[in-house]
Amino acid sequence: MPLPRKLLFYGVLAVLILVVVEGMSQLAYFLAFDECYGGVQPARGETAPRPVAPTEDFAGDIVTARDPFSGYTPLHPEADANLMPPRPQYDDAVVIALVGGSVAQNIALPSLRRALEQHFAANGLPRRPVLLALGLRGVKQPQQVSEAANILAWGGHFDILVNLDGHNEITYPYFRNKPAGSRKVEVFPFFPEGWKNELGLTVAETLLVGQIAARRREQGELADASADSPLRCTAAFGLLDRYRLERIADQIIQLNHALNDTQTGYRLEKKGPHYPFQWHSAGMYRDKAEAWYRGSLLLAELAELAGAEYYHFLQPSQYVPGGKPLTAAELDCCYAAGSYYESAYRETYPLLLDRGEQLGQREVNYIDLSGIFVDNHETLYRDVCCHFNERGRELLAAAIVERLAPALRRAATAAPPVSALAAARPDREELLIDGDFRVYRRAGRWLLYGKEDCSVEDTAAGFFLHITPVNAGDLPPGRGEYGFENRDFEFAETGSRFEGRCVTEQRLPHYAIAGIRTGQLSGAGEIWSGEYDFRE
Amino acid sequence: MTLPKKLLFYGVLAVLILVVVEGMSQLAYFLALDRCFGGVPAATEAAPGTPPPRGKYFLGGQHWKHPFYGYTPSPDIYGEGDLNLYPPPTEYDDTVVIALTGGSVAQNVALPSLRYALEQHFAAKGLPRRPVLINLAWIAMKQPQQASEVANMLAWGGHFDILVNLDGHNEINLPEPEHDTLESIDVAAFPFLPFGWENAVDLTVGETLLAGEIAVRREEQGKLADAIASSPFRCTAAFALLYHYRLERTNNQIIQLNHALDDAQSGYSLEKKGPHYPFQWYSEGMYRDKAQSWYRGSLLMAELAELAGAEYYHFQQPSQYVPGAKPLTAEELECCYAVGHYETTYRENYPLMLPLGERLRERGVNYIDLNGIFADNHETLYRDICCHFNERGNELLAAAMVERLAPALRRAATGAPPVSALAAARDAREELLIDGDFQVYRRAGHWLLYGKEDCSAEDTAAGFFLHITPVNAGDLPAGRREYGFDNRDFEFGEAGSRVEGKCIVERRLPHYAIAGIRTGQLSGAGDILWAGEYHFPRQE
Repeated sequence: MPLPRKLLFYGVLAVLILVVVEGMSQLAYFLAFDECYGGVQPARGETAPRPVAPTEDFAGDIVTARDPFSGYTPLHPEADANLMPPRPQYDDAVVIALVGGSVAQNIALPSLRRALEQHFAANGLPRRPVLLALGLRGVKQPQQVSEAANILAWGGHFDILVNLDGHNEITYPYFRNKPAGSRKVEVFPFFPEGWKNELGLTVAETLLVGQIAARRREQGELADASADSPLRCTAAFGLLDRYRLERIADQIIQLNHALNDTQTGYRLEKKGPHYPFQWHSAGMYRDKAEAWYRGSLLLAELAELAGAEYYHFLQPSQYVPGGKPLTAAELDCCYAAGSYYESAYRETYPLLLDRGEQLGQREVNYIDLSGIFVDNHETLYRDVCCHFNERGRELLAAAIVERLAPALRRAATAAPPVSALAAARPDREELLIDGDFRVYRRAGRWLLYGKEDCSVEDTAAGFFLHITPVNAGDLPPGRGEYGFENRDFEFAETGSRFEGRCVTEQRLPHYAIAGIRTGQLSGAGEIWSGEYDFRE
Repeated sequence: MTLPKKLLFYGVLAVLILVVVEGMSQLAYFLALDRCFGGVPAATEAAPGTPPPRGKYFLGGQHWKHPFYGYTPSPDIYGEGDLNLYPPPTEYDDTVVIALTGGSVAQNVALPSLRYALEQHFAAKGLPRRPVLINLAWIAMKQPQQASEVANMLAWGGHFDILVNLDGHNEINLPEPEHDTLESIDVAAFPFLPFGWENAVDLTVGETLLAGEIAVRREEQGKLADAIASSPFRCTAAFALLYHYRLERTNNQIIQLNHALDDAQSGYSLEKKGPHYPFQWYSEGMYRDKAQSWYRGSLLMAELAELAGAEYYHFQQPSQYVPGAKPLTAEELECCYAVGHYETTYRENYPLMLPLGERLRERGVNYIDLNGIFADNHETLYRDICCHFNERGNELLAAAMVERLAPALRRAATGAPPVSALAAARDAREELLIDGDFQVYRRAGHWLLYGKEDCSAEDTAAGFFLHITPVNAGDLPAGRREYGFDNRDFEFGEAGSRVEGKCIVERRLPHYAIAGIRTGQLSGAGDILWAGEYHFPRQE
């Protein structure tokens, strides 16, 4: 056979083989997964849905740190929950503290902050809102109580305390504290989620946790590589890819089971007090509702001590029957029929309603938000758990602010409350620089820039803020040659306008500060500047 | 070419290829590693070791971390203490529940001194209920731990009628390290974290992941080395080259992970050290903060007590370092007074507490400074340089507290039980299980209450037997399995009370699912005086 014909023959043969392989792969994929192969999905912007089946995954990650008073806290030292001193009481600001789980965490920034700012501006309220974002994923009662008590114990203040909760209280005592396959309550349901795995681990447990972490990383790298592969549209690749991913997912499940096995046997430190009821028992349903109710009463009492108003919102959920007409997209992405979520809401949510009535009778501002989307036909949820997409968060924030309106007006117009705690709060304020803006230091760690009769032009130029530490070693990498840290900012980042005044706050770094130099810069140079030497 | 010749040709070709590959590998090995290949080494070069997680225990290995108040006593050592009970003690018509918080001085005074003093007081005054002391005080506790404990107890459904906080020493002394240890501290821990928290956190979550990954890589390294050592190709340079690079890759990963772990463990860690603290040790700012933290903690407790419908008493504990508070005996000066750290901290901090104590009183808090109670006492009452009392000191301190609590005890014992909003969500169910010489009730799920009206001393002279049969025999203690039940016999004197002619004693049921109980009293001769049994319906 002449060479060209040979090449043609082998070429056709190769193509045929590929076609047959691809065809067989398509068939195999269909038989294996009961769906046609549609290509590897590119990475999604939103978080992937959480697993429907209860799992006992290692809950720890690098965004939280254990906290001795509320179980865990955001790892960032500048997070509102970790500020020391905490936000003080201001004459010119209304501090709104928001507690709750991940829905509260997600809604805080930017949705709720923006909604609050818009509300203050639209209603001409004579103070500015300061949002204290304390919501954190997985948090459930009594963690919110501990957070609020701790803020007050450490000298903090809030004028309005908002608790947005319900989902974690209904689902997490089981969902995140139940070992796989166990009928018996082995981890006390009212301990923070995943507590047992966030404690110091034995060497064997550390090995397993490390394996889980390594497999998770592998899973992520494989998914990323697949999404970028030029072969991602072929079923053969998809089949292989899916089997590899599933193999890793199985390994992770097996490792988690092994981790649970090593942790069987009772230890108070990991598993908390003995719990008298079974999972899915009437006793446990009642306990969950009562823990939620008691937590709210305690928050109301703490707010009273702070001279603050307390609002308790029960968060909306796709699992509340009739709570929202779910769109086709929501039914697809965000409603797990037959899941634990569905049954947990069916069993426990009605008990919360009764307790909510009692909260109302006890003069708690308790508001069930389950009905706010009853006539909304947009897609607002984004996963099978409870989380909202951007539109959902905006609407939820607006609904909360609408209901807070009377309290916001009271807090913004009345004299600041004089609480017994105020006598022991570091609320000193000192004028550091008297420039176009006056620059004060408040409560030790905050710089406050203020200007009366403030026009839009006054805030158009950017601000520079140079901080010189006592010890040059405290400077961030790359700043050593300049001798100061650069914390330049724009007014729009955190600034507020009210009654003709402009106010913006900047947090000072934690290290010992020798001095600051600050002012505003236009394209043509410095508009104004001033400096302050803390050592004098 | 004939077939044999073909095979020979391809065979020779394959061998030649292998020889070339091996030769190239030898060369590559030499060039890459600057040495000739001499076979697989017996042992691989070890990567830096994984630091083992440090001990899980702190405070002398007797305490476990707790998510809501830092640490709690280990039941392995201390048994099932009041701090770890669930459901927590609840509200009864026939008792006055007194919860005590504070540090080790409060812990030491609680049992037996304060309990005994309370019982004597109730008996002497003929108060129509019995006192139940809940000991929440524990070593080294300082504000806001007490406030957190109380919030947690209420959040979990507990109750108290009177809340007593005996504190002051730890709030003054424990936020700062002792003077002579200052130089050894590189990054200071936040002063209002629980004592020893940074040592309690062995590895942070991030560090655990890194340590775990190191362990995984080392395991892979070992498996790879084993596989290579048993491979038939282990003598070839080509194989060794491949092996070397795979092992080296793993080794490098381990080194990188160790560096990351070192980085993670050096300097500041929020998880271990808490928030950044703006003041220096032993600065004015810190002195003020310590006093204010103590004051705020007390206000929080007062508020929590109000929610529970309870009265709150805050006692400042006496100290040998408060000038003029006690004429110290020669023995006390020898054993129990240290010039230096404590003396300095009291001199700097105690005066700041006094005006805040005044302010507590202005706010309606029952704040009482007990520093004057030993002003005329010439006995030896202290037993160490810290703050602790000997037995006589504990008795006198308990008596002083009960004397000051007397009006509240009377109100709680004679008034209607408080109706708090929390009561609506509390498991206070009570059911009669056995109607024998004593009536036996189950309360709040996990307590057995034995009660008898018109009860004489003879009625309680005989011991009680209590046999508990679990649903699952596997729940029985090892030595009890052959009998099929758990033996929890007791004497009335252990925990019994007499109130207005009634005898009452409580026993806590074990945590496992219970099929039934059999209980009664046995005479000294072993005769059953009375007995009854109850079979529980299947547990919820």
